Amino acid sequence: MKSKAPTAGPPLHFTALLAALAILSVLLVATLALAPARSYFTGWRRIQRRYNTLVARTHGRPVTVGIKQVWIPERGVVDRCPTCHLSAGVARPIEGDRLFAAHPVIPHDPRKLGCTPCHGGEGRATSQREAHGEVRFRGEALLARADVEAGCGSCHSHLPTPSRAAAEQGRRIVEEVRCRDCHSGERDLRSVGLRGVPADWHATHLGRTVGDVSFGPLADEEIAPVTAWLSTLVGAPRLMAARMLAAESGCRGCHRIEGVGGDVGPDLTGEGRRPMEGLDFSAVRGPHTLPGWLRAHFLDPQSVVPESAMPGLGLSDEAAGLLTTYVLSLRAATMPLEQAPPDRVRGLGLRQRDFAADGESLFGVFCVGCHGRRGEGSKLPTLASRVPPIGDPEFLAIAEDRYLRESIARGRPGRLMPAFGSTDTGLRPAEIDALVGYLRGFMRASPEPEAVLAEPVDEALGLRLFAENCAGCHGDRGEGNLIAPPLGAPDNLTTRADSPILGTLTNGVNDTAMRSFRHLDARSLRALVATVRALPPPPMARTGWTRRPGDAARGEGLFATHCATCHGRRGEGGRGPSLRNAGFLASATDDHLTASIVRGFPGTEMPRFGTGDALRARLLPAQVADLVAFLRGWAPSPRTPIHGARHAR
Amino acid sequence: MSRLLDALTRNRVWKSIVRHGYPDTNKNRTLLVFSNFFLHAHPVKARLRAFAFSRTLYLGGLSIGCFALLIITGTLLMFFYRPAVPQAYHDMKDIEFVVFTGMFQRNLHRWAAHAMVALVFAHMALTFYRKAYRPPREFNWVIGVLLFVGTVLLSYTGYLLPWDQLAYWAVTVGTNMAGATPFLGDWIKRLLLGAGRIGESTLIRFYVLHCVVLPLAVGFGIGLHIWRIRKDRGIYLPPRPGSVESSGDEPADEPTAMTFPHLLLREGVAGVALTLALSLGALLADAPLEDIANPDRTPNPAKSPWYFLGLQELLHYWRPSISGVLLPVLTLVALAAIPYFQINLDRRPLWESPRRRTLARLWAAIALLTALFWKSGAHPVWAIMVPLWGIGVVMSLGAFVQGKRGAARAIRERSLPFWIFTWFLVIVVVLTVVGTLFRGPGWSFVYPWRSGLYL
Repeated sequence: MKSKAPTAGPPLHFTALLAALAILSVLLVATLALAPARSYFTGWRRIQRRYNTLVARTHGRPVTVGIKQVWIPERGVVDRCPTCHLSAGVARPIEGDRLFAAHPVIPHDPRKLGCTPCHGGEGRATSQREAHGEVRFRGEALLARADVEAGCGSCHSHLPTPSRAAAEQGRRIVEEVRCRDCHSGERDLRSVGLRGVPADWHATHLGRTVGDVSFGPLADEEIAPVTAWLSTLVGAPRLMAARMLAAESGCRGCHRIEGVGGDVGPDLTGEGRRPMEGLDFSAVRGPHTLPGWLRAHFLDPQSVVPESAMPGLGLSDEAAGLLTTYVLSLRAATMPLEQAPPDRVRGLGLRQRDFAADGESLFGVFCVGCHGRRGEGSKLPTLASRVPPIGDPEFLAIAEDRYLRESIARGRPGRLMPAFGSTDTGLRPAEIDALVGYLRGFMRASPEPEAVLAEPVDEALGLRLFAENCAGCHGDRGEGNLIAPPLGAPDNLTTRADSPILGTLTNGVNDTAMRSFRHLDARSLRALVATVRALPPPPMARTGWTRRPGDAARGEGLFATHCATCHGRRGEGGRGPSLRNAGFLASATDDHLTASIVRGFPGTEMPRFGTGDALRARLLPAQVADLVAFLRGWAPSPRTPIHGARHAR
Repeated sequence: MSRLLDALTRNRVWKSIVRHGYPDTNKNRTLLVFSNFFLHAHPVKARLRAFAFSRTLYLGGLSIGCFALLIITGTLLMFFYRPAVPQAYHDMKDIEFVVFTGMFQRNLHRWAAHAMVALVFAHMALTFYRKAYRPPREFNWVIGVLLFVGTVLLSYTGYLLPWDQLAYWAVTVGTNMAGATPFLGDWIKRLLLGAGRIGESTLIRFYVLHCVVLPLAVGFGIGLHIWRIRKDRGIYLPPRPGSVESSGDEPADEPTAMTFPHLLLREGVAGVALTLALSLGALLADAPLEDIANPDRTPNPAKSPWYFLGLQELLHYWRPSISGVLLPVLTLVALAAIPYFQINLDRRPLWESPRRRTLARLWAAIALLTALFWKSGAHPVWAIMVPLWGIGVVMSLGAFVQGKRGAARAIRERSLPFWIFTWFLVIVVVLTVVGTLFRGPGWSFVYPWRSGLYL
């Protein structure tokens, strides 16, 4: 460009500036040229070229270089994974190559389902680091190879999970009767559990005949274990193992999962997709990933989250790994029910359980986390309170079924025990009954009556045991009182043999204060039976222990005189506890109320009204009965099954 | 070659478009600047002193350069972006991963936006120090302050559009600050959000503001700004020694040069250098994009864009209605009002006035501010105390130092407005730096070299 230099004045640096403009322009053009280069020279382009080179050797069809994607608008899936993972539905697999090998056979077509719904990761990304979720703040991480089956949980959230023992037994039976001789290849049973194993499969199976092949029957008791084993065949053995382990680790006692479980700990639905931010990795050795965090947390909860109330489960490395897979499989599926797989429809739509509903399995699902595998109880590390050993025979001997049901259904206010029966999130009535039945199994088996009665009689021991265990309620000489009937009644001695007395001792009498004494050994029991048989008949005046009906109207007056001072005018409580309390009234039997009034509550201010003292008049048995009748007027009858009220609502 | 050129330019079509000859004579150069739409904002000749880089650092021009870059890259990005939930976020991912050079466009847009906020602020500061707001340019200064507000609003409305966690929570902080306005707070917040909380309606509002309303407003404002400069005979230059400042024509001896090529060449160099710097930045550093916005998961700390972090830092000094509304509004009003106060026009040296009385007043004021900050709940309080006392001490030195040149003279001759403005600048910088780099979870004070950056 021609230009005249200025004629006067300070220098204008024309040439220098022109040179600067030229140099800067060249640099700018170079920089702007780099921008498309960055878009062009990408990892996936190299990978596709490599594929084309490899495939050219076998004269296969090369791919057109470009971004490949699975696009399923109705599911919101945009997965560009096939851009690199070409064999996932875009191009012919190349065996032996790490990246281009065929996808393992699965029941799904990746082209219809997408990749990220199972594998996690960031589907829209086209760089490896981003797509695999290795960038902070960006999307979710890809599931590692070991945990890949957790991805099934994205949709299959309610896979029916039998107890491990049953499934294992079923597997052994299947080995023994050699089912796999036929069920291989085409007739493989690989994912028969996915659609649900029909209850009548065995009958159907027997009905078939093909040539002379035996469809020999299974023994009746073998059918259930084999069914259990069949239901584990969903094509994801590790996930199934993880679910079975979780189902016996008591997670749902504290954690809600898909709407079922306690609310002591955090809800775990969707925990497998939890974002990494907010996780403290300072105490986590090993990889700083969600699986790494979960595993460290399982091995020692308090080292990772100091304020956690989670009990250490004493897990092996392998078990911690399995539970990690389990938690990763909790992925909070959000698809509408009509798109959901059968197990989710059954679980959410039909409200079928995804765990076995027998007592033992239920104990595994809900209780063992805190109460221990044998109900031995535990000490939670961050709490002063001990979890009671509900499997303890002593405890079970005292606790009535109704008390157990009540505690499970309504929880224990003030303690960690959640109310499992109060909402839809918890246990159903039949399940609570199954649990109670299972707990009863922890009671010590009663000794054989013949063995007991064959023992020699030790009179001194008998008298001592009677004084320790029986006299409190039945009176020093077995004469009976308001709590317990007289033992020495003539009918008792004449019509009853040794064995019914022994039976009462070992089993207790349901719905009364008489508990089981089966923790005593055979010799002690023999001695007690003999002592009871030897009791003198009671004085005639005191034979009349009956559960007499009371008059509530008279009871009201008595309540105002004797009880209202402490328990409040309407029983609302004051110095003493509230009596107008549905939980208390539902679980306290008439005997309990009577006993409390007559004997008082040692260690509290509740006095003994049965004897009276300088300050207090003695209440007569009829008056006590009136009082109890009055108290009953406040509450649903204790005879109502606790679930009855719930269903009536 | 020259015949080819002749053939190209000596015909009616060319002449009908360009209307003047090749700019190799002063007449044609004049015509070029005169008749060219793109150059008509320039004078035909400009004063040489106005050319000097050191006078303006070309900050205003560079700001306009950023604006132009933003219009270009923004328009490109608009082709790929849908302002809807959740498409907005997915489109960001597609821009990054699929659109050819999409990442570069987005980076360039982002960095140019940040640069523009910084450049406009610096432009304003320099304009103050150069006293360029003097009559008759008072109102142009006000327009400049409004343009600064417009720039910040442009950047802020753009912040929400990616619809990621960063965007969502930064805008949450900002709108909550606006919601703290006394009496009108709820109404303002609802006006901004279009709903009870940030959602699709907010996104479309911010989108329209960001892509239509504010660019038009700022573009118009820039036109007005430039036009008034031209009407005021170019940028402000202090009177030359020996000549009196007059409202009449330039002194005859003021050296000038032709706009073409000299001024345009400088503008070209500056523009290319700016584009080059921003392009390099866009190549080397990627604009952040976090997880998709999740109203249920609040990041800790939740930070607004950096230019608001000074304000967010102030939020823990006083309650939001003061820190987030009253102080910024008062500051803007005070900035806009600068040219209308005689003290700012005179800018007499502070120490011309009686020394004892001035010292007493100065330290009384500092003591008052110290008490104010001490009671504010600031933690750590030194972040705001050190600049206050530091500037107080330096100011006071002016009462004692002797000397005819150098730092001593500079300190002695500075005016009160100078010191106040400088203090304001330092506070802005300190608060912004503390808010950006030194604040961690729960707005606790952290050292970035120990606990990393929380951005």
